[in-house]
Parts: sequence; C-alpha cells; structure tokens
Amino acid sequence: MTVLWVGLAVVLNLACVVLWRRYREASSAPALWAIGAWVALLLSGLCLSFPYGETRAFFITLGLLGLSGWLYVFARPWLKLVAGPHT
Amino acid sequence: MARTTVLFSAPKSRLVACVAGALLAATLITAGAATYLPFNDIDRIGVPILLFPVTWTLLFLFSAMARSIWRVWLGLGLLCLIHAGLIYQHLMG
Amino acid sequence: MRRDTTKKFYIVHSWLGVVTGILLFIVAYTGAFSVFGRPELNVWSNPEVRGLNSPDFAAIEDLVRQHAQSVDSEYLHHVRVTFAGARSPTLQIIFEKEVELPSGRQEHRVVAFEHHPKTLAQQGRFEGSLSEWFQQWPTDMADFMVTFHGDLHLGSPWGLVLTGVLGLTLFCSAVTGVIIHRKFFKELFSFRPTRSLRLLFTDTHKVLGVWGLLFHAVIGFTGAFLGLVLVLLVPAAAFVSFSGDQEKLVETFVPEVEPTLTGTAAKSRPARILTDFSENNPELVLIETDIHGWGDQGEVMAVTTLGGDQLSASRTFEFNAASGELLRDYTAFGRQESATGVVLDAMYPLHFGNFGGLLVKIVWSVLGVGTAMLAVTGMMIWVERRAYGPEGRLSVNAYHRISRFTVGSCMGVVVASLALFYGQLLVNVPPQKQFYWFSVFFFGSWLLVIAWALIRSNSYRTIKELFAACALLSVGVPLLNAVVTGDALPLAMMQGKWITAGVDMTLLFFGGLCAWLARRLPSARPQPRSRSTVEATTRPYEPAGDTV
Repeated sequence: MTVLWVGLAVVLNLACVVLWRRYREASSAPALWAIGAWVALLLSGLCLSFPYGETRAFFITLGLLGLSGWLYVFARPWLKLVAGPHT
Repeated sequence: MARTTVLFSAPKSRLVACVAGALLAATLITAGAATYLPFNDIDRIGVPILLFPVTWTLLFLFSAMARSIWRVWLGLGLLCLIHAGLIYQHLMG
Repeated sequence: MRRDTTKKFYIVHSWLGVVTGILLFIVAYTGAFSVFGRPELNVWSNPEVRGLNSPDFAAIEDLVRQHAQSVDSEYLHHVRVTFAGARSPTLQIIFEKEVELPSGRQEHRVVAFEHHPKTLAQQGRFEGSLSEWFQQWPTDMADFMVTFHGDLHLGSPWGLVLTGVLGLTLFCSAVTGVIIHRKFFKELFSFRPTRSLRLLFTDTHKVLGVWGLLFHAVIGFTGAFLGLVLVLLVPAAAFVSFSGDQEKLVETFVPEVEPTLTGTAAKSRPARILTDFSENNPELVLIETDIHGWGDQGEVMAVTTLGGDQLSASRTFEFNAASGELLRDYTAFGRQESATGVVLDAMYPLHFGNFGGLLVKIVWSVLGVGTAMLAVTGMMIWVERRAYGPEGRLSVNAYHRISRFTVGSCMGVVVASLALFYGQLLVNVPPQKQFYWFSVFFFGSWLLVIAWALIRSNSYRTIKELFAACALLSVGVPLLNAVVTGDALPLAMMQGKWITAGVDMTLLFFGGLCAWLARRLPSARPQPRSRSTVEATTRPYEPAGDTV
C-alpha cells in the first residue's frame, strides 16, 4: 500500500511541475494552470501523509519536488531532440 | 580590478571582519542571548544555538555588504561588547 | 534593489563558491554516500551481519545474567545491550560505572563483552574508559566514509569546525543565490544546453540551485549546526549558563534515566519485554536497550529504536523491567517539552535523510549529489568566465590548471569512494589496523587521480577517462564480493540478503551510468556555434535574471 501512495505522490509531483510550466507559458486562463499545480502538490503531500504522517510528508514532498523539477528540466531538451522536429 | 575596489572598500579589513569578526560576534550573541531571552530554561539556551547559522549569515552579509568599513567594525564591535557585558554581568551574579 | 548592491551580492556569492567549491563537492558527495552508511553499507561491509534475523532475546538475557555475575556490583547500575545490525556488527553487552578521578573530573568506565551476531559466541572482552572503548572500535568502510564526511578525518575540533563553517557558507550561498536571482520563478525552466558552454553551465547551476533551494538551505543549516554544536556552541553556552560544565548543559536537554530504586530485590524480565515489544511494533528497528538499577524492583529498561514515524534520530520506550509496564516514550530530545527539543530532534534526520526508510534515503542521496554538482558547476562558470571572458586576471593556462585540479579533486573523491569497497573486501588485518589501510586505499587513489588530471592537458578527455574508470571499478565490486564472500548477487537475493543485493545492484546501476557518461561526454571543449553565441560568451557580466 505504501508503494501505491508513494507512486501516486511521485506522479502528482511531476504533474505539479508540468502544470507550473504550462502556467508560465499560458496565454489564456493562466490562473487555472497555477491552481492545478498547487492542487497537484497538495495532493502529493496528502498521499505521502498516509504512510509517513504529516510532518515527514511535508519534507518528503518538497524533496520530491526538487527531483521532479530536475528530471523534467534536464530531460526535456534531450527528449525533444530524440523525438525530432515537429512537421 | 578598480571597479571591485570601489564596490568593496578596505578589502583586507573587510575580509577579516567577514571571516573572524562575524564568527566571534555570532558566538558571543549565541552565548549572551541566553541572559535576556524571555523563554524557559531550555529554550533560552536552545533557541540562540539553533539560530546560530542565521545569526552568522546576517552578520557575514552585513560585514560584506556595508558601504563603510567603519560601520562594519562599529556594528560588530557594539554587538560583541554588549553581549560580552551581559555575559560578564550574568557570571558575576 | 540597486544594481551595485546586486553586483556586490553576486561577487560575494561567487567568492564564497570559488573558495569553498571543491571542498563543498567533496563533503556533499561523501554525504550523499553516507546517507546509506548505516545500516546498509555497515551490513554490506560485515558479512556476518548479512541476512540477520531478529535477535534471540532469551539467549541474550542469559548472556547478560552470566556476565553480570562476573563484574563488580558497581557496574550493575547501568547495563547496555547494543543489538547487531543497525549500529554495530556484533552484539555488545556493556556494564558501565562512573568514577571520580583525583582531578575531580568524572570518568565513565566500562566492562564490555562482544558476541558474534548469529552464533552469540563471545568474541572479546574489554575493560577501560568509555573513550578508550570507542577508540578501539573497528572501522569498516561505511564508518570511514561517514567520519570523513563529518570531519574530513581531521578530528575534533578542527575537522568539525571546517565542515561546520562549510555548512555556514552553503547556507549563506543559498541566501545570496536567492537575492541575486530574485526572478527565480522565471528561471525554473530555463535550460539551453546547446546554445553555448557557458550558458549550459549557468543554466545547469541555476536549475540545480532553484529547484533544490530548500534542500541546499536545510543541508547547509543542519550541517553548520551539527558541525559546530559540540565544538563551539555547547562550550560557549555552557560557559555562560553552567560555569563551563558541558555535561550539565547536555543533561538539561537529554536528562539521564534515573530509576527510583526501592532496595527490594526483584528479577527483571528483559527478554519478555523485548519480545512483546518487537511483536507489537514490527516496523520499529531496535538499536539498543539500557537497563538502570539491575536487580532492583525499580529497575528501568529503556529500549531505543530508530525514529519510526517521528522526525527524530531515535525513540526511547521506558519500561519497568520487573513488571513490564510501559512508563513513557519520548524522542531523543523530547523528554523535556520544549520547542527547541522538537527542532533538535529534526536536525539529524533532516540532514541524513534517515527518517522515512529507503525512499527518503534515495531522494536525499540524489539531492545531495545535486548539491555537489551545484558546487562544481559554479566552479566551471567561474573558470569559463575568466579563461574565455573579459574578467580573468590570470593567464588562460592558469585557469586551465585550476580546472584540471578541480576535475582531479572532484572525480578523485568519486574514484576513492569506490576504492574503499575494494579495501573492505581485500584487506584482512586486525581491527586496529583497518583505518590505516582504508586511508591508503582512499587517499592513495584520490592522489593518483589528482596527479593524472594535472598532467593531462585535455580536461574533457580526462573526465571521460575517469568516468570509464569509475564504471569499471563500480561493476567490479559485486564480482569481487561474490568471489571473496560468496554472496553473488543472485545468491544473495535467494537467501534474503536484501541489503547486500541492494548495494550490489546500486553499484551495477552506477557503473552503467558512468559508462554512459564516459561515452556521451565531449572529448574537447565544444566550439561556439555562431557569431551571436561568440559575442554572448565574451559580453561583460550582467547580473540577475539576464539571458546571456
């Protein structure tokens, strides 16, 4: 069960990063993307609080956010390169 | 470079203030704050110890960034004297 | 903020980074390594502890009773049993007393018995002071690395002062980094790896710094505290508040267990208590148990475990040893209710990431490598700006030498950490000589790498070669482990030696990663792609939020 909550938390954390990027780039309804990002982050923390408790979940969520950010930012250019130019 | 000298006056004295002065002042503040903080016995000693990294950072940045070196030594000197005085007063009962 | 002020903050940030960069990489990398020091690498280093089952509490109680009859009654006021696994490779039964020396100072003296972790056969007996007991403690590669991270093997006080000050500079760098990049929300996603080399270094540094900001700040803060607390802060506070008596200050925060002795003899039942406790709390890892007032009706048994679901390094459960009644439970600094205690409890686990099992350790370790990379990318930016930009005062060759030294020092500690695994497997000497041989493997390989990096003219090629060397070394460890200990990876997994298997698999993964990097990294400094990029790399510095 812990593995499930942790897996969900990781996905939500990554979603937070992606949504925040959308917020930075959005021309229309930008607030929705920002709200989505914060909700994803809070849900990630909530998922982690079930196996770890609120105090530990707080620090783990922020740690995961750092890793998610690095993963997304560093991997994106290489993934775009591999995917090739869009026609 | 000339531009750097203008930005940081008296670089050698400032370096001493940043490295030694900030550390000495932060240590005296940590020890001396226990004499006046309005907390229970444990927090009175523990809170300044826990805040030491913040205290040092503030003093280090003050020493580095203050425009005048005299202001740096005056500030550090006052803090050291005040807390040393409080410590002395506490030890003498 | 005024432009001059921002520029001054930038210069302070740069010089903090340049002066401490290599050392920060070393401490951060060894820290990432040390996250798995206890118990994972301790277990890997001591084959007799691999695949250890739950302790046989009844047999251990028999041993304690047997030894209690062979020591002076003064030693029975405090009996400690340290279980094999989490903190020790052997079972230790220690009888302790306090004596007053002619100088008036108090000294702790012990009679300690060591037993094999599985067979419980007695392996040694020690009698002497507590500090002598710690000094003769055998060192394995995990202890070597954890201690190196803590004090660079310079000992107390100077080693701790150095690492503590390094924590202060990291914390200060985090603060100045935020100030000079105050538009950091804009720079969260800014990563342009193909525009120019300087932009690659700058963007990498910013991304590592911004996303990991809270982690770097917490590590700097807790590292400064842990390094300086015992050598500077406690002595200073004790001087003012306890007339210099540091033990009294520590006792204010961590009071000793004081049983209410009745004078009535009673037989305690530690095995029963420990068995019930383990069955009722299967998720808690037992570290040790302390028995105060052996043989008295008021005897207290304090069972210490790892932090469990608390943000604390340890948790203690006090039982009446005769009746088995749970008296109270508290965290390391939680016996006295205070805000300070809660924060003190959090310091060690927040620094070492040992508060949430394997997941948190992996997260903390990767973040720690990020802190190390932050330091080295900062150095790269500094060298690049000065060697190929308008800011350098020295010759280009001088900056290249600095670059080569940085490569040798940083890659050297990675190679040295892998060399320790070989030292652990190959060196077979008495415990007192282990530290010496670990030092030979560690510092010897490090110095070799520095020398190699310095004599080579092309740093890019040197980095590729060193990553290739790391790949070979890393993949070789599980093979050597199989030959020396018989715990080949498939066998270890079949026998339930999950920690050993985990360490070997991590080394194989790390080896693969190093091999990939050795292939992918460039062999020479990439040339600027276009005229606009050339201009960008030679444009004078503009701070904060600029796009170069």
